[in-house]
Amino acid sequence: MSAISTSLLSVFVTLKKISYMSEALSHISFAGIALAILLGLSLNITSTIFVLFIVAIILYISLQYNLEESNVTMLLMSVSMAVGIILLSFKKDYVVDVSSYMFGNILLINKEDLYWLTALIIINLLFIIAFYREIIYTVYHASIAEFYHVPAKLITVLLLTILGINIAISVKITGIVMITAQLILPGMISLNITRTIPKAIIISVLFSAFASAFGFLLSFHFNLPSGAVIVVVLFVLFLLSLSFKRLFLKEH
Amino acid sequence: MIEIKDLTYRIKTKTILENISVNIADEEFVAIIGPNGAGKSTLLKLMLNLLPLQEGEIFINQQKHTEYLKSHQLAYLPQKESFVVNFPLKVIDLVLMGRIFNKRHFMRFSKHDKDIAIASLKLLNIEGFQNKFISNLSGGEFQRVLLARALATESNYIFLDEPEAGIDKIGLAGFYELLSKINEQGKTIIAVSHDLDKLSEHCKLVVCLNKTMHCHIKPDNNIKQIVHEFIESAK
Repeated sequence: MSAISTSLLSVFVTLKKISYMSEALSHISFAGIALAILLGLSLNITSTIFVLFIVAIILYISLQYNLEESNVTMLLMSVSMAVGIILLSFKKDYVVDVSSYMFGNILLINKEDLYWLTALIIINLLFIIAFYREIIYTVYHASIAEFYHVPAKLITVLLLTILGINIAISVKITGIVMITAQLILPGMISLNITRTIPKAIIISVLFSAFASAFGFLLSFHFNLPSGAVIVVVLFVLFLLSLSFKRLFLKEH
Repeated sequence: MIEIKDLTYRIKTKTILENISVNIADEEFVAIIGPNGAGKSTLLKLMLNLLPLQEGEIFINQQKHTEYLKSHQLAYLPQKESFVVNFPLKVIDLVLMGRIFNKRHFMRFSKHDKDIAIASLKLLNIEGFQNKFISNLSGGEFQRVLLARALATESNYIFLDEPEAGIDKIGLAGFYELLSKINEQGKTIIAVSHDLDKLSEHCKLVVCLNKTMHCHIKPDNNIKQIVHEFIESAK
């Protein structure tokens, strides 16, 4: 399910070339998780609020001081990681394995998470359906879109917000390192196969769901870490899609 | 009619434009030329309100330009848009971007919008392109599509920022022909350009810019001479 919700956004992330953002937000959410563990709060809510808070800071700084979004993001990413680790070190009796947050742990899922993920899929779908054209034009070229009266700034804020929520919720299942792959690879695969965006979104979701199911089966069967296997499966699919693209182009 | 009055623009302490005053009549075809860093693009962006005014005023049809822009969509071909061509967007969708103005939330294009978009493509002899992906177009073809988007706004004013970028020589001649054709149909054209050689054969007014305005002339036989001298002196 986390595969479905993130892969819905994957095409846009790939096209807007903000993959660094998903990487950064997942690391940032680590600080959120650390905070939640330290204070004994709900992981989902705390890390969501924390990530959104950071998204707001990123947007504010890059708009106000005219700095590159990517630089600001990377800066905050390292700071968040550092803060996360410091926070965790305060918790003396801390026993949970940090690596399960780095690479994800399917066993950390509970019933509440499933509700969250279902809600996320619905939110993502509604966002895409309601603002489809606006998103496309914004992702195409934000400042030109703004000139032609697309509410590009608003769409960028919404896109980053939704991306932030998705990452914050998915991160403990998929893992900080793996979620980036899940946000980028499905989009890259589908854009190798088709050039029409609605089809690309559907293909992206199908491939991502398949990779997760298949990867999970493999990992279960051979007793391997599931997150890692899923990423490798996605990567193999990506290689296949590259050769598909090459064959397809030759025909033309 | 566009009136620019005593315009000065600075970035920190550096003066980009100084005391510019110029009137551009309707149905004019203006070429704004000057060396790199002369403030050409800045002047264009000030007119389009993409940069805020510092000193001076701009009027479009006797209205302050900020007021005019609230109720009108101007047409603009930005510099460097051609760098994003590797994007899975169809020509018709890009042209329809010019029809967004005044649409409320949830953009839905009507039959009327689509007809206008297709008519714009037709006027530029590229109606066959509508279902092509922009990534499959040449530089010249892409520039024409952007011009079609400009036409689709139905604005009387079309602003172009270095439209020659990315077009080969033959394509460029054809592009300027099209600009002349559109101009003859009553549109005011304001183009910023490096390439005066060809453009001067088509435009009706040349504005030479290098921080301040140097000349403001109708092209005639010795235009190339005058402009050449201007460019040389600016170096």
